Amino acid sequence: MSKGKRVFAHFSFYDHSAIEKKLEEMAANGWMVRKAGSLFWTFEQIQPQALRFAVTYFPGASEFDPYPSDKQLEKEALCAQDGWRLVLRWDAMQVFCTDREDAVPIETDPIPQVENIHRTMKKKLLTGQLFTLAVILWYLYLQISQLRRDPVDYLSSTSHLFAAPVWVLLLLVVCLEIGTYVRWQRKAEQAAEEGIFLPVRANPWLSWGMVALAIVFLLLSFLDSDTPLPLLACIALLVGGISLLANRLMGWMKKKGIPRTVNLVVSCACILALFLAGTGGIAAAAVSGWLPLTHDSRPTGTYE
Amino acid sequence: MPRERFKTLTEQMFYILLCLGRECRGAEILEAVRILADGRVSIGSGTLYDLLEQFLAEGMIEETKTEGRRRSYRITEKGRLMLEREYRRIRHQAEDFERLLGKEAPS
Repeated sequence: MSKGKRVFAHFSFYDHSAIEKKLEEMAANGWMVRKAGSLFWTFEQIQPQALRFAVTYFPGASEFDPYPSDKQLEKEALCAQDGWRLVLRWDAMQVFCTDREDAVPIETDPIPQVENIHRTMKKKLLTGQLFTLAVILWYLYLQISQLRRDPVDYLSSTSHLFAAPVWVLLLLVVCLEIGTYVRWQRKAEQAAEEGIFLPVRANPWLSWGMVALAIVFLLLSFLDSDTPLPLLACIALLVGGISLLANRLMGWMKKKGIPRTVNLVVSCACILALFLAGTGGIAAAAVSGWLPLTHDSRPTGTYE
Repeated sequence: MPRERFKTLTEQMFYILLCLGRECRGAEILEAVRILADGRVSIGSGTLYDLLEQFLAEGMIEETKTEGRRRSYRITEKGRLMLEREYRRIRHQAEDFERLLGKEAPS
C-alpha cells in the first residue's frame, strides 16, 4: 500500500497558479494529489516525476453532484485528447496533469478563463461567504445589543470581552476574502481584454492568521466563561458532530447517485434537524439538572 | 469596461469559426486549427470547449450531430456574417498598414 500524507491547503480556491505550482513541487518530490478539501489535500506516494498541472473551473459543477455531467465529461475528453489526464474533480475545480513538455496549455484565452472563474466564484461567494457574513453581522449585532443593554455586566466579563474580537476578526477575514477577489476580478477582466491573464495576488496566510487569532480569543473567552465546562463540551460536541454527520451523509448520498438538489435539500434539512434535536437535548438535560447551566461555586452579585 | 462580446474576434475565435465552415467534431477542431494556421495558432482544449459553448449560446454555430459525448458543429449564417465582418476589419487594417508603412513613409 502506498504511503499517503495530508497537506494544509493554504490556497485561495481561484488561485490556480499557486495550486499548480504546489502540485508540481509535490510531484517532483514523489507525491501525487488524490483528494482535495477546504482544509487539507491528500497525496499518495509515487515515483518522483516532472509533471505539469492545470487547474480549470467548471461553473456548472457542484460538490453535491453524484456524477460529473455530460458536458463536464465532454470537456475532460477534449483535454485528454490533447494529452491532459484528469487527476481529480473537487467541487467546480478540475485538476489535470501531463508529462508532455510540449502539451498546449488547457487555457489559452484569458477572456473565457476569467469568465469561468468569475461564474464559479459568484456561486461560491453568494452561497458561502455572504451567508457567513450575514451570520457574523448578526452575532456582532447581538454583542453590541448586549453591551448597550448592560454595559457594566458586559465590560466586567472577560468572557464577553474576549468573544467580541472573535466576531470582529471573522468579519475582517470574510471582508478581506471578498474584497481581494472582487478587486482581482475587475482588474483581471480588463487585463484579459488585452490578452493577459492577471495573476492572483491573494494572501491566504493573512486570513488563516486572523482565523487562528480568533480561535485563541474564543478559547480565552471559554476559559473565563460563566458557562460550565460540561455544557461547553456538549455544545462543542454538538457542532463538531453535526459537521461530521452532515459531511458523511452528503458523501453517502453522492455514492448512491442521489441528484444534486435532493442531496442539498436533505443535507440542509438534516443539519437543521440535528441542530434542533441537539439543542433540545442539551436544554432538556439542563432543565432536569443533569447538565449545570452555571457554576454553583461562583457567587452571584448585585450592584446598584 | 469589457468590450461588447464578439464585437471583434480574437485570433482563436476566428480560426474556430473558420474551421466550422464545414461540419466538424469538437475534437477535430484542435488539430484542424493547428494545420490551417501552420502551427502559428494553438487553442487550448479548455478554451475550445468554452468558446464553442459561447458560440452556441450566441447562435453563431449549431450542433449538427451528437454521438455520445462527441458533438459536431457547423457555422450558422449569423456566425458567417460575424466572420466576414472580422475578415473585412482585418483587410482594412492590412490596407492601412500597406498605405502608410508598406511603401516608404512620406517625409
